[in-house]
Amino acid sequence: MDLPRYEKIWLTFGFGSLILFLVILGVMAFGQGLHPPDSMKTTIDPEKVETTAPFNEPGLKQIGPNEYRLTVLSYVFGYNPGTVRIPAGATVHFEATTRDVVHGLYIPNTNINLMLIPGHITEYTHTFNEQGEYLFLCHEYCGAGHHIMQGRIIVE
Amino acid sequence: MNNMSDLSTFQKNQEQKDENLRGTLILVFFIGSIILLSWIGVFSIYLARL
Repeated sequence: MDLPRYEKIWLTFGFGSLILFLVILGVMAFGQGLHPPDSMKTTIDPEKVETTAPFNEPGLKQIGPNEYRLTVLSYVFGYNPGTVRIPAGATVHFEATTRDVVHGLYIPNTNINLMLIPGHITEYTHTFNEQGEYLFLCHEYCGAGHHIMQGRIIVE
Repeated sequence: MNNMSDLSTFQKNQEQKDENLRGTLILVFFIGSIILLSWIGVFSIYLARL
């Protein structure tokens, strides 16, 4: 194939990047066993959320030294619990869902950015190292009161 | 002789084509570096917030 020299250079980089990406993907998936989480493993009957554990008792539970499980039930237009207090350095395992429509749980300036979908439980772990008040917001439009839907995590 | 001149004309044209693609190569790598730098930027924000 007769290609101009410069074209060969950028084609080499292009195909090289693609092959590098596929090799990394292959090593991670087959060598290290890293797969996307199975979303169908963490389901809940969306009509019986409030009578199904752990969402029948939403709130903060200590499960280890400075380690907590935070069960959050969202609804139009708020969260249960709405305010949570934890000590600095606490590792919090979030488990959250919704009892009605799609909501979100977003804490600005952190990596916490969860979608709460009816019938699914969303899980995430985060360590709060800095003291302060963390506002959490719904970031999926859920109705007329969407803009007032919020809660707070106070790190003491 | 005639063949030789044909060959040299071909080589000359080839060189000109290469010359014309030099700017394209520079732009390809320029845009590539913008994509790469923005990816590294976003990924480092993610890491900083872990």
